[in-house]
Amino acid sequence: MGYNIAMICDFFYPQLGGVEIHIYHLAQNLISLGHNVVIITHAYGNERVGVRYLTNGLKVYYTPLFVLHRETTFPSVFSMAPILRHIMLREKIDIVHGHGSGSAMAQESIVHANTLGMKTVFTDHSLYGFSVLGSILLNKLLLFTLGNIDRVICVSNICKDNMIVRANMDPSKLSVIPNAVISDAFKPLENKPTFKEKKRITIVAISRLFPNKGADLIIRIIPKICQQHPEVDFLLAGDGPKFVELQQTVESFRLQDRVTLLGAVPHENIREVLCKGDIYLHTTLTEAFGTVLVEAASCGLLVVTTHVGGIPEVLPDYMTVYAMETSVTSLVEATNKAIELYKSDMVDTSTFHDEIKQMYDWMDIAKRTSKVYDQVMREALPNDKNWYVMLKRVYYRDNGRWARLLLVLCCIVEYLLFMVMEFFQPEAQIEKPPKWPHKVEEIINEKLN
Amino acid sequence: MVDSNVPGTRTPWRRLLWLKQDEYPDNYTDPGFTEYMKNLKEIDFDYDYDRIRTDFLKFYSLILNTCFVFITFSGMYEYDYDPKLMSLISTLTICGFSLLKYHKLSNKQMKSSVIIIFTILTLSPVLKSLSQTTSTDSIWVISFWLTIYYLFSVFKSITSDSKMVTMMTTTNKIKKVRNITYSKNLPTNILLANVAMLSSRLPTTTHVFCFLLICIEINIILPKLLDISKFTVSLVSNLIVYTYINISWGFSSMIIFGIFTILFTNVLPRVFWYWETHYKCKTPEILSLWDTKTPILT
Amino acid sequence: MVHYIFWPEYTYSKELNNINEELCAISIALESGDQMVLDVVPESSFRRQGPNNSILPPYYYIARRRDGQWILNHDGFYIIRFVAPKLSSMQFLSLEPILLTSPERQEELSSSESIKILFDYERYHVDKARFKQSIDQVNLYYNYLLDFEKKFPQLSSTIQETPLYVKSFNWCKNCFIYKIIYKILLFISISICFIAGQISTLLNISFSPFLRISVTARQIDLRCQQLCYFPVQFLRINKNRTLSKLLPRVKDTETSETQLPCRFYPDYIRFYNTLWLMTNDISFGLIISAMCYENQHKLVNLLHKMIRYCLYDFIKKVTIQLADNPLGIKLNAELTHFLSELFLWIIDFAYIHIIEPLTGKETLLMLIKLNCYVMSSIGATFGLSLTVDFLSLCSFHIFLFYHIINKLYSWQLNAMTNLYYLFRGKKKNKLRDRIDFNYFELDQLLMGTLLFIIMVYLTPTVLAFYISYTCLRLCLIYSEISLESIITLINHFPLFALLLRVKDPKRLPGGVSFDIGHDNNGTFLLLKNNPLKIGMLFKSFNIVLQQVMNNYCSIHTILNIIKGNPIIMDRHKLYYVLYSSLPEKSVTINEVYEQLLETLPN
Repeated sequence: MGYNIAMICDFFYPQLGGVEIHIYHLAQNLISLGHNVVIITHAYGNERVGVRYLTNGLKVYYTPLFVLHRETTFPSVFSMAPILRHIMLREKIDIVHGHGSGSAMAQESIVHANTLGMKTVFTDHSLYGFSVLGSILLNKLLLFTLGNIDRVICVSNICKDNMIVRANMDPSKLSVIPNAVISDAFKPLENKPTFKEKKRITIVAISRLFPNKGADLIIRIIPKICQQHPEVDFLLAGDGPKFVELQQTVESFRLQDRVTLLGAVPHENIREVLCKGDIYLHTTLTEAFGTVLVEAASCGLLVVTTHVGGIPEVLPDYMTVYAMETSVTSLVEATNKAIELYKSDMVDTSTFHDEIKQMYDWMDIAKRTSKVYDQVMREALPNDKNWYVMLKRVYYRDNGRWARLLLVLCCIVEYLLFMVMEFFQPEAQIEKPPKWPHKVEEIINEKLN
Repeated sequence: MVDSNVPGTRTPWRRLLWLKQDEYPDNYTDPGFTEYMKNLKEIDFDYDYDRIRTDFLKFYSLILNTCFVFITFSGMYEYDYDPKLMSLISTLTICGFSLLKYHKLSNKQMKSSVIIIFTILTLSPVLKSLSQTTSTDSIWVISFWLTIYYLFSVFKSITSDSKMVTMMTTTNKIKKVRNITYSKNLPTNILLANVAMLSSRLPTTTHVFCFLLICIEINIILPKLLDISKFTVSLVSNLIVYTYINISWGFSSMIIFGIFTILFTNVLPRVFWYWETHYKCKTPEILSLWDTKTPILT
Repeated sequence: MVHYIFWPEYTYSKELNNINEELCAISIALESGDQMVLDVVPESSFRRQGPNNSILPPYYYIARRRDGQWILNHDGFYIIRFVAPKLSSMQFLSLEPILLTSPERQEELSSSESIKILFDYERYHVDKARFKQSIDQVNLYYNYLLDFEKKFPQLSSTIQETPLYVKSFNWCKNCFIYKIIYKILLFISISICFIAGQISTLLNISFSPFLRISVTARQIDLRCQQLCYFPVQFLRINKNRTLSKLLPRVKDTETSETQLPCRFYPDYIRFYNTLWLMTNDISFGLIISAMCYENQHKLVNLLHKMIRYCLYDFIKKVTIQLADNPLGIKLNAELTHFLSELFLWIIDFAYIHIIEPLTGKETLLMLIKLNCYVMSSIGATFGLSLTVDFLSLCSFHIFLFYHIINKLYSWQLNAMTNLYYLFRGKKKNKLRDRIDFNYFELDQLLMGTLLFIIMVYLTPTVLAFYISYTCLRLCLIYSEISLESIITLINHFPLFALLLRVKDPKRLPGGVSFDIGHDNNGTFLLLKNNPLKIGMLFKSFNIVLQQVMNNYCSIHTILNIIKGNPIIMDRHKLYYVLYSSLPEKSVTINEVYEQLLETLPN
């Protein structure tokens, strides 16, 4: 039957972002496909420590680890080894699935899982550049951790291209499986007033106001659009370092009546915000997938967006108006076009929801992921996780003379460490808890299908 | 790589996520991409030599401009020139240039210059005493490092300035200044720190006042009025600096300085350009495909 | 829903005695509680009683024993065995740990906010109410049993006689002399209470600074409040005694929690704890004062030298050193000169007006004698608090230094941060409480920059003074705190509770737990009392200790020092927790007096 899967990531509930929601829904749908899923993350606060059960017996381990910065654990190669080894052996894990290259925990766990001879899968959720020192270091680290990985999943094709270059991967080991949305949670309003009825247009933008999300652009677009179209209002959700600048712009142009700044909005209220608008404006400068675009389209909004990263792959052309440059002029032009389209009723946004429902579905994503697991199990060679073989692979991955030696040294220490741990706490002595029973009818349904 | 050999019967693969392309596996790789990556590695990037050269020239004129701090200082400290005369000359020059630029001095400008002068006047005794106890040698050392730091920070602010010029012409006036202020203020601070360090060695408060005034005029206000890398300005500063070196250190030092100047303005940019086109690792340019795009704020 | 039968171990011996007989168990069940077996009686005597219906609710005939095997009359019951606590010896069971602090203060002590939220969820309430009811029944087991035996004397095996000593005591109570003595004692205690209450209110007048600055005043206030609270506590304990006689009335089914006698046991513990601590305090005082008195001349010499050196010579040395380029760091000459002049002047002033007159040998001798006298008469704590006050008076100039330099430093820091904003093109918007972007003119910038540079150059000078005086101040605070912690230990140590915990843990319940047991009737649960953990006894001490650590030796402190926030010695906030055994509001004497009068034997 199903595999025992461990999803490992620094980011999980109570924090709510794209990765967190992805992990949760993927895990839930994998469970209903008959797999056993545990999630391993670090402790949040003083109180969210230990084991918790979520819906359908999704078990979450909040491990007490040192949190360094923005909810990321301290990146060290070995410090998490004892606890991760214990949990993985205890849960009889077959496949370890790490999420997010920004998560030190995910990367470390993949190394340990390989050492334990488990199959490893990694999902990358974001694009990384090559000119910033941080991402250069991260890429070096990826080169090491993904050395013995069985399969990598990318959320978009551009993400996959990025991964091929960053981590020097064999393209056939990379799968593209997008994110999805729960389309039922993003239904458009029923009998929403048309432009002819209300005579006003609301443009919604939801973005964390960071420079790389295009906050500078949106700050400059708003006054221009407001000047050109007196019937347009703005509704902005999201907080960030550029918030004050945005606030000041709104104040200095006296647009308080027309521009509403909501600040940070919890994820469960996103639909409410989206439904108040007619056009969605996205000014980001980098994006691997852009879930919020799908959510906006699902709520029946026309999407205006920059043409960067994985965005062109996400939505069909008739749902979007692209700004081909990341410039204010280009974005203003695109917005004007969208306003024109909306006013003249040339786009029928009412069908968007059902179409999105067909395109993105978590069950479909889970089935595709499950297929990846099947492949991993099927195509595994018997000596794939042999320590010597893995050591050799790591040695030939990096061209740097010193880097290569360092990596090999890391591997050897890792193996020694696991030998020591096996001596002090043999695998046989670790208690194996019973698995959460699956709902009977679901299993029957599965068999009938 | 079985999957990359696409049989002709299948509908061609499209790079879209919303389209269900079930006949292609999830790990299908577009053969076009591998081609593209191969081609990219062979492209030679052509770097603009003129831009490199102008940048070097700019830096050189900055060095000259900074030299004036030390020329003024040694004029007061070693040669006992009359500080009042020196400051009068520089003030008149500045006034002349600003008259040339703005045709008539406005009320506001008058007000701000009066404020600056009175501030300097009140603070000069304090400035003089700030680092009195520090030994002279340490002051030279600190001043040297502050100057180096000043040069680089000014250069950085000037280059970021040139980027801003394009947007200055179109966007609203309030906003364009915001991004520059930080990079503009850092060199001013360093310069004033340096001046405060040096002024403790000057004999009287009048000296300190004049020294500070001259420095502010030449290093802060003058670059605002004129483009210091313009030929005529550069010529005048060159003349003054070379004369000073000739007088204080002798002719041979001036020759050495001249050789260095020629190396810096003519040979070094060429060498740099050669290195950039032929030896520099190309990956950053290729890989900027995935980098965060720079926002164009127009 | 699962039903439980609570089965006392008390009947066990009975069962053993009549091993061959057929027994039946009689239980009691009040409205919302579970069944509780009261007694087992031989079937024969039960039959003698008459037909089954003679046992009416709330009593039930619940089980019978055949061939050594208990058979329940109804299905679906689980047995929970328990050892019935003896209320008469102040044992009881409780779901929550017994509160050794005053209940009205408990709210503030409870730690975690989220736990509170959790408790507010409805589903955590429902079953607990029933269980609580059952536990209350278990607590009153012996009372119910007594009542049962009175009602059905023919079923009960033992009839208790009132012991002789109780009788004689009762006779004594009615005696005339007893009444008079009682009355005199009452008036004396009431007048003491009244005086103590007046002193306490005087000290607590909102604008009076005594309690904030003087440890002695706090100590007096504490003692007065304790004295005031004694009659109230006494009343509560006494009421408990009288109540326990009235209680076993089964018809009064709503035995609400307020009526349970165990509610006043914490008061009993607190009352005797305070009494004991006071006695201890005086005996410590006697020992210390005797020692001091014997060695008074040595002590005077030592103190004289030490105070002169630490509070005058040493500080003067440090200040002069600071003016003279300390550690080779070149400070700004003008500013150092000014600051050290200022401080030297304060030192001399303090020396002439405070240190010299106070630490003269004769004065010291007199003070020590006074201290000894106070210690031996009202307790060591008073002597110690006088010492602390003396210390803080003598070190007044250090206090001044610290606050002057702290003010200077924080001004400078504030100016520098604001100028730094200016220099980054930002400015603080007080109105909206945020940092705005702003465009500054050249003259504004230049002026700001000049001031900023001057500030930066002056920072090392101010910092040198600031750090050295902060260290001095911290040393003083540490020494004061260590003395004060001795005082708090003597004042608040849970001595009585600790001894109780050792002697009879059942008197300090900290919750209940279940064990699984087996016997020939099958599996049962065993209800057990979890005695209060030792750590819980010292909970308030832990809180105070943590607060002291947080305020005076942690990263937080260092950050505060760097930020220029003054280190304040707020004794009220610091030791607030320890007052938890006292009520928030002082008791009105009149009410107490009337209530006390009621207790007078007629």
